[in-house]
Amino acid sequence: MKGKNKFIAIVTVFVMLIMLSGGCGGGGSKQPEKGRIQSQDNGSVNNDNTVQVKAGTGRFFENGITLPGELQNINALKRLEDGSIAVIGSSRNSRNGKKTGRENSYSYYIFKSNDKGQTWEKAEIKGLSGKFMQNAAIAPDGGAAIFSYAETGKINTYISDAGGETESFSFEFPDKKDTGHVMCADYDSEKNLVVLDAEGSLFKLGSDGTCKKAFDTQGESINYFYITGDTLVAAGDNGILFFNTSNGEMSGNEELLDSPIAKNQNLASASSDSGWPMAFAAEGGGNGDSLFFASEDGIFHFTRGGSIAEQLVEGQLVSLGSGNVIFQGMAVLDMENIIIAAGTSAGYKLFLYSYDKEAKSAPDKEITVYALDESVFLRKAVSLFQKQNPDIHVNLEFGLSGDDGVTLEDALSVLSTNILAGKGPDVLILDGMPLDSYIEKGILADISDITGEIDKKEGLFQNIKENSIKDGKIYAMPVRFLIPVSEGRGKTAKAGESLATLARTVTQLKKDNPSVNAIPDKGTRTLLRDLYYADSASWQKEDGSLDEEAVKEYLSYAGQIYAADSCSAEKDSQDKLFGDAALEGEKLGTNQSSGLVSGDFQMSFGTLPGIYDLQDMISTQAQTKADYCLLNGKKVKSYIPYLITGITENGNKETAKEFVKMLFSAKAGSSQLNGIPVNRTAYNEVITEKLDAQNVKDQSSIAFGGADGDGKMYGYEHINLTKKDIKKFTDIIESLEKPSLTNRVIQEIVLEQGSAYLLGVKSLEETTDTILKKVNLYLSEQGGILWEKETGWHGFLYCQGLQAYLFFI
Amino acid sequence: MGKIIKNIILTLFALLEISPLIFLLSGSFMDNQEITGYISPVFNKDGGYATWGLVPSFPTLSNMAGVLLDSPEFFQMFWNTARITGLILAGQIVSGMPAAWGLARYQFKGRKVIYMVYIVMMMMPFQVTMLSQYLVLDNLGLLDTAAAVIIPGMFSTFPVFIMYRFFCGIPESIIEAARIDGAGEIQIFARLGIPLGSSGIISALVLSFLECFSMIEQPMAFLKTKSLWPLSLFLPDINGGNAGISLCASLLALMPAIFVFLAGQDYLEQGIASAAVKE
Amino acid sequence: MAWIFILPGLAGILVFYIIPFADVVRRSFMKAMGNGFAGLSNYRQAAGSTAFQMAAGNTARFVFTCIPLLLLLSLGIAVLLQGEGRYKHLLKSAYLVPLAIPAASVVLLWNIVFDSSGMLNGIMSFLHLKTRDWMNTGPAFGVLVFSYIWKNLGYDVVLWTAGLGGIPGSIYEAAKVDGAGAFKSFIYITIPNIRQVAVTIIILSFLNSFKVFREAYLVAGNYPQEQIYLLQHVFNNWFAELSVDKMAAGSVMLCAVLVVFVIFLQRSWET
Repeated sequence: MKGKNKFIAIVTVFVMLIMLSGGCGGGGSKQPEKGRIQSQDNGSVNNDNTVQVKAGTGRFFENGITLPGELQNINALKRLEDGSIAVIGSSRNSRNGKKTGRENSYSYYIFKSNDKGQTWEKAEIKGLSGKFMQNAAIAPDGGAAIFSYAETGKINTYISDAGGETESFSFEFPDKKDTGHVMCADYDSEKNLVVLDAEGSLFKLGSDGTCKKAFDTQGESINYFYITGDTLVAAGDNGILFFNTSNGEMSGNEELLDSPIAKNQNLASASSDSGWPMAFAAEGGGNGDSLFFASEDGIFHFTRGGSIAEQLVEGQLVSLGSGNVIFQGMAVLDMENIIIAAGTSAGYKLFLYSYDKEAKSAPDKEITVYALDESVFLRKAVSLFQKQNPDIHVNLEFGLSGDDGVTLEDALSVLSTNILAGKGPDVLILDGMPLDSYIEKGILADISDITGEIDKKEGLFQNIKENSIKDGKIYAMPVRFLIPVSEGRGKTAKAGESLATLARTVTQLKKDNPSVNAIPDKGTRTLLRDLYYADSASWQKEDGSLDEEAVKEYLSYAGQIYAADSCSAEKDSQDKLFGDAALEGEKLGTNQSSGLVSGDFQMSFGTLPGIYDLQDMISTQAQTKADYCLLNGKKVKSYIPYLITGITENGNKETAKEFVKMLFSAKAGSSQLNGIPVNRTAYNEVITEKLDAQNVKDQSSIAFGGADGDGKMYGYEHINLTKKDIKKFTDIIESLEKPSLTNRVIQEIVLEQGSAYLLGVKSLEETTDTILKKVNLYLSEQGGILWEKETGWHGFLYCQGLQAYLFFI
Repeated sequence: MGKIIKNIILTLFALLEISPLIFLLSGSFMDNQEITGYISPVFNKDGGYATWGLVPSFPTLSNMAGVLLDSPEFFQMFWNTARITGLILAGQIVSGMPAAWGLARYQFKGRKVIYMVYIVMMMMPFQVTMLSQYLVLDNLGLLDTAAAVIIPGMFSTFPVFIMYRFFCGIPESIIEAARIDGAGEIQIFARLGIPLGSSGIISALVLSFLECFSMIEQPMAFLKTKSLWPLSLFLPDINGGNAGISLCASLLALMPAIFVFLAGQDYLEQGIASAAVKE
Repeated sequence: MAWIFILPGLAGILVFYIIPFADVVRRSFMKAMGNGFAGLSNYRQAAGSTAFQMAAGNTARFVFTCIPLLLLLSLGIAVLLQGEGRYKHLLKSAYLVPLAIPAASVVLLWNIVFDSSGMLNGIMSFLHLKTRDWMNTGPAFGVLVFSYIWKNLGYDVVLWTAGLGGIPGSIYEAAKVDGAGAFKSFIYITIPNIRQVAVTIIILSFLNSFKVFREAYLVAGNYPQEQIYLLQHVFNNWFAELSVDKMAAGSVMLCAVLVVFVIFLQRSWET
């Protein structure tokens, strides 16, 4: 027995040793090399990629290039054999500003430049006027191929020489599974065209219209490709693949190149009709050994077979990182000059990135902006700030990226650790954070000087500003806000005046017309959250605890509304999976006006996330004769603060203040999405634009619509706001009294327990009781709010008692 | 009769204790549809109560393949665990074993205090010193490296506590005899202490092994880079569509621990037993 | 001479455990941010907060419920196991299984069993008994005790078996000859002889009782049913909202209690 045990023990030790050595070997080789990656990685995937940012002096700077001619669109950009660059683009045909009757009539041009885009030679591509272009490819000699729609399934191809003279033919993809769209095209070294279909397969196109599958992608779907020499570089769903263009065989992949794509999972799968989420280019038209890669993360340089990817430009510091950038092409003139064509939210742009040897390689100053939730608005603001202040680097960090199982508490604990270790952020976006505790601990600085300055210059909504004042100071203030609304026809238009009327109206609507849903399908959490936003402002009693009756009422109304339309369990689980991320993070709003047009439901309520949605709602109401009001507009008129911003006391205050000033400014704030700006100038700008919106005036306003359940078509057109509309909305905003409860711990408790009530798992009393108990537990942790007054030495006595207990046992 | 009752009691408890293992075993070979069908009432609240089948209706190896072939992170984490555990145990032998010997075999001023400090440090919940440990590791530049978890683990007081009790159990007469024969103190430790204490040392290491193997808080707090995380943090989304893979990964993850336990069990007993009785 | 053996380990312990703990003690007298001296106000606030009182009470209640229960149960099983020859090894191995199961799976299983739509309620409703939300109502405490005992039973059984195995069989033989029954030998021989191993087991069980927080937290979140709201919940939550001052004060108080407890254990049992 003993001998046997010893044997087992020895084997165990042996196994552990093997594990140990294996572990060291395996782990050791995968140690990340600490490059100075400043770009924000959102914490997912592995960080093993070896990316280096150039250190020392020397750095790339972005310069905008004026678009040649009157180009409105750019469809392709390439470096030609002779070292010049060529652009294919189009401009809309219009005479003296009048419409020609053919809105989609474009003229197409090839522009060529020998001087980094300062001057351009223009050549109109003939025979294309009035056609609609799908895609284009530029030949190495300056010619081009334009793909245009023809009768179903076929694609008209126009081959143009450098002077714009065209020949045309049409072709179709061999397996006509898709409707005939060229997703991407390029010339190989023998001047043959290679095209990509919508299914992700690559074809060689002959000048006689033959189209053959020419590359064995081994089942991988290709989203984008680029050809240099006889190498085709393709971005597939799972990474980068290389092909030999002469025989069509895969010549390998490159793990190094996978890394920036793996890092940003949106890239591989994203593709759009109008461009690509990334671009490739080779140095001087080489054979693909020296490759450049651009995405929203920046511009990278790789040597095939090398071990290091060098980051030349950081996306966040330039326009590439501003979100919504769609690439049209990249041209590398030499190692120090790179041109990128891209569609941005401000239209099509050409950017020249040139290297400045003298400049410091990294900005002098640095601040960190920390938010729990992803925010498009914040990303754009950072990008705008970066462009205005190239000497300041802004690190934007999001604590809850959503897909890695990090909970709110985990994120807050990490934040606490960083703050206490003196490595905390400089600017805090406090949505979902324990704001009161932070103020009490003194980690937030007074920003009333900034808000005061903005207020004086551009104006702020006073009610919202007043609500942010604490002890005469402002430690944090929302940059934007959303409001809860309800809408409906006739009497139901006023249903939002209180939760009681809302519940009564919904129940009545369902009773009168049982075959149609009363309200949009909301899962338990979405429904509870909508009502929480509208109602929670009135829950807190003087001492900070929650009013039991208020919570009970809220739950019972939510229950009535939920019961009126029976929601499917499937909806609920979807709501659980996607709802929170979509609604809290992006603040997309939950009101659904279009359903009133289609007749899917009879009234709607939810959050209104911005001026665009106001216009949308009013447009539908013009057709449905519906009207809207503030949800819960009688009890406490409340709003949902968004991007509550503060500056930390121990951070880089001066620079942080610059950033916050910009965040509150009209310039950053004039967005019609992502909330309503608290800045009045920004608000006025955005809303008066809607009085006389260009697209509506042009009558090219988009008609929205779709098919309802029976396949019947419905639609509505966007209309302009009237002065009356604006007055009504502004009056509502000015009447807002209190923010809804922003504390996410409380919200989470209410939503979680409330869901159990709505699903019938728990009774109303039980649920209210659980919520109250949990919230009171939370509040009592905070101390000072509930019980501090009468405790005194009682706690110590308690501990003594505990010790005595320990001795007795 | 009494014997039968006794056996029934013992077996019932054993069944209760191993029921999760059965759950993991059966779940590892079910397809996701079957698992979802069983646990959907809990995660989707779509009515009814959760159930579980002891035998998969359609046994499949796809989960096993999913873990072993398609999750490189599983292996990465497995090796991380192996490395962390191996190095911590090695460190505990080097630092903890002599400390336990010193405390157990010598009378000196402050011995009781040191021993008390060791026990209290052992019992402190991790949350208490987390921040301060973080700051120390930060100062040493160890944060976000495997060393941030390994080095503090090497100096854990837990094995010292176990080995101390064991070394106390070695009869003083043996040591005295060696002294009289002219053996130096270090020689006595190496030639007498370690061999006589081998089963106690192994039992301390077995317990430490389990400790390291299920370590959650420390890597979570000190390792930001996910490629450094140990297997204990392998927590794929369970209510999503991949419960099978997650169960299967758990099953594979607990294998080494069970193996070590089986192998070390007898030493565990001997170690504790002699320590307790001979003291 | 002793120091040569102790110092290397002690140096590491100093750096990674004692200095951090000293830092915690220091923080307990300071304000959360900055270097302001706060005197005893952190202690007053921590001890005065209902959350802390409740958590301390729950933790004490938990410890003094589950440790005696675990000790008795595992001792009983160990004694029963003593006679077993063939199956002893197999059974003991079975008892050890829970220790090896990863926390994630335990949590998944607890959810499936104790959820309001879980298996336990399935059985209850089958038997026409009252179903309940086990983790969010009164029985939550029982569930926690159960999960602690379930997890640590094997650990303690092995330790007790070791203790029992260390008692020379000749003593029992002698007692038998003197006419003592099984019960009498247990009281007069077994118990006195396992007193010392009991100290080890109690300390280890105590240590493991703090670890149950992990499951409680993963199953029921950071604001669980109020009876299973433990000290670590408070510490965790305080930390998340940056109240390190209170957390430090609370920790020092916990430490004081621990020291008293350990001294008490050693005095009463070891000498």
